[in-house]
Amino acid sequence: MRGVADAFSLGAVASVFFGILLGYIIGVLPGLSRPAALAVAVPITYSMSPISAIAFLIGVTKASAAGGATGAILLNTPGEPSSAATRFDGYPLARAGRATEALKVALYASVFGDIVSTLALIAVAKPLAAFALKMGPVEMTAVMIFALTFIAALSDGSLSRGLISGVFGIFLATVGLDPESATPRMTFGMIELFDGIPLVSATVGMLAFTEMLVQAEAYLLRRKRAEGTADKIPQGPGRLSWSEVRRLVPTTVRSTAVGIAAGIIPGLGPTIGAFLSYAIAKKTARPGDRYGKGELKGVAATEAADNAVLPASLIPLFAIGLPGSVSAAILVSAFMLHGVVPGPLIFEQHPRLMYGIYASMIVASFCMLLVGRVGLHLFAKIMAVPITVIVPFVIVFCVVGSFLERDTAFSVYAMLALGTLGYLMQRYGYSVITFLIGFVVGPIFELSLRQALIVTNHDVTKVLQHPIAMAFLLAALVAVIAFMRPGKGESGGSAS
Amino acid sequence: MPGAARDDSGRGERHRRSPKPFHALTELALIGGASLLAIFWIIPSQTAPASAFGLSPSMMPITCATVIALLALLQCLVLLLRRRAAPQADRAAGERPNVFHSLQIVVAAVVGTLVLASFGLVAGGVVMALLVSLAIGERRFWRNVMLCCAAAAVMLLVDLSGI
Repeated sequence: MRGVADAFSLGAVASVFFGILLGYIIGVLPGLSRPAALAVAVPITYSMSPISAIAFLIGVTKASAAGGATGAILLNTPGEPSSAATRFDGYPLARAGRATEALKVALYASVFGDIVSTLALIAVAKPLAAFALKMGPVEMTAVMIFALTFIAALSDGSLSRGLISGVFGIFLATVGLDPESATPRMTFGMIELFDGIPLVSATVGMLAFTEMLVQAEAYLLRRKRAEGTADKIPQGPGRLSWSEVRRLVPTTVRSTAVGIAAGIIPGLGPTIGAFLSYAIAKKTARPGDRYGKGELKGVAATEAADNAVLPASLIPLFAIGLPGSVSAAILVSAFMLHGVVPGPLIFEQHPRLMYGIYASMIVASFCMLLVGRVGLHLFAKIMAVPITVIVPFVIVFCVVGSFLERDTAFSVYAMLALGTLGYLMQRYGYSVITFLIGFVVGPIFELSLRQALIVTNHDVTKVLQHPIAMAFLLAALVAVIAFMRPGKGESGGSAS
Repeated sequence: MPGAARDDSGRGERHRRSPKPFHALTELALIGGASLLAIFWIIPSQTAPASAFGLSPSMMPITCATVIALLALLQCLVLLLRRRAAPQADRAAGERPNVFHSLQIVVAAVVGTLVLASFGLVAGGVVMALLVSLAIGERRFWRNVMLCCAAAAVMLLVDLSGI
């Protein structure tokens, strides 16, 4: 109980509140991703107590996840990759004058997913961590093959183009030092590339910068056609009826479960969780659902899953010291900074801190609801800003954000190069989202594959001895067959 | 949005061109050629030989490049075998998106980065905002002046915050 009391102290609650505020602002701004926000926020916690520090960082993480949806819905520019799937229905809803409804659904689904996932963390951390312990390198490789195949199948255009994008992402992730022998690979003699292509540059370039090029192009086309340059779209009343809420509940609950599963399984993370959730929601669509054209269920599906991932990703972190997401990995550094080592012993060594963290997470969820609801219309004002102001500002933020990552112009040039590449890929039907997921999971995939090859002694038939891996590989095969069917591939995609 | 070239989400379906043999073969030549270039030249020349233990450092890049080449071949076959024409873009030739505008924005960002690296955040931010604004066709003087002032204020805030 003393831990819970710590969480309700003025300092801890204030830390959560300011963390939420900062996280929301960062989440709303395109190009400033959750990991980038967390990485920036960690040094701020130097002088805080462990509970305040962790509460502050949890606030930043949770709110940046929720805030990321705002840009995705209003500007078609996700604040971070995990919000990218929210664009599919959020942006069409905004274009149809239902931005406020979409923002409300995103907020409520985020808070719901977050609270349920936090409760799951509190209730089942230890038993479920036992499952994560069974995931060896063979299983991890199979899980990632399945995830990439599934996400590639969802991309616009054909499955093969989606897979090419994903594998190309993994290919670019191999630039830098080899994980086994630290041998430089494809660095072209540049020391800056020894650490690989900067992740923030890739994310910002591929998503935000590319989007700005597309937005500018669309604006110029509209102007050329003399369609008028007014960017304001008349907005509806923005109220959610009870019948709509009832319609959204099953999708939100199911997506929360998907997000929790994606959080528990290390390596999947919020982006894969959100996309998987969207795919499942789309596949289980009822007649009349308008997925991809402006469906509130689509927004609820991605946001509930996205926000359910973080608390769930702390399950393997707390139980076995293995972070289930990039955000959880950054939280490890914050724990270490305050003398706490996440792992099986954390419950015995720091029980007061652990219960304090649990209580702070619940407080953060309610703070998120408060800040998000109060600031909803404020954030919606972004729609009134003309595109000729948004594009220059977002590009400046893209450049500055990339520059600050390593304090060199190299990161910016990498961002611009990848942004241009993303623009060309998108122009010719290659999914930038699949590319980015391949790029993010690339290092983990390579490590798992190498370990799997060693474990199986390069004998592929030994995979048969791993039932979990076999299940995921079969699922990947089923996904390939299902999406290669005529009428599914070329015409059915909508993921990017 | 008119035509199949762009969907309501703003993200393009501009790739939906007719699956003519020429397009399919050009795609294969570009992607397959780049993959072969990577397998036989870039990866071997840019990967130092590893010590005796463990797997080769070039194993993963070569595997990826090979898979990309095979998928490009598959994509080509699919396009050649599929006789059903995909929806054609119905934009008039004069209404096609001009890559030159996007290139202008990229150049503006590069120039802004050079200024940023040489003269700091504030100068870089202002120059970049102005150049990008001009690149997207904003010519109103006071609008650009206000944009520059706002960019300067934001960059000053970032600079002073010590981030």
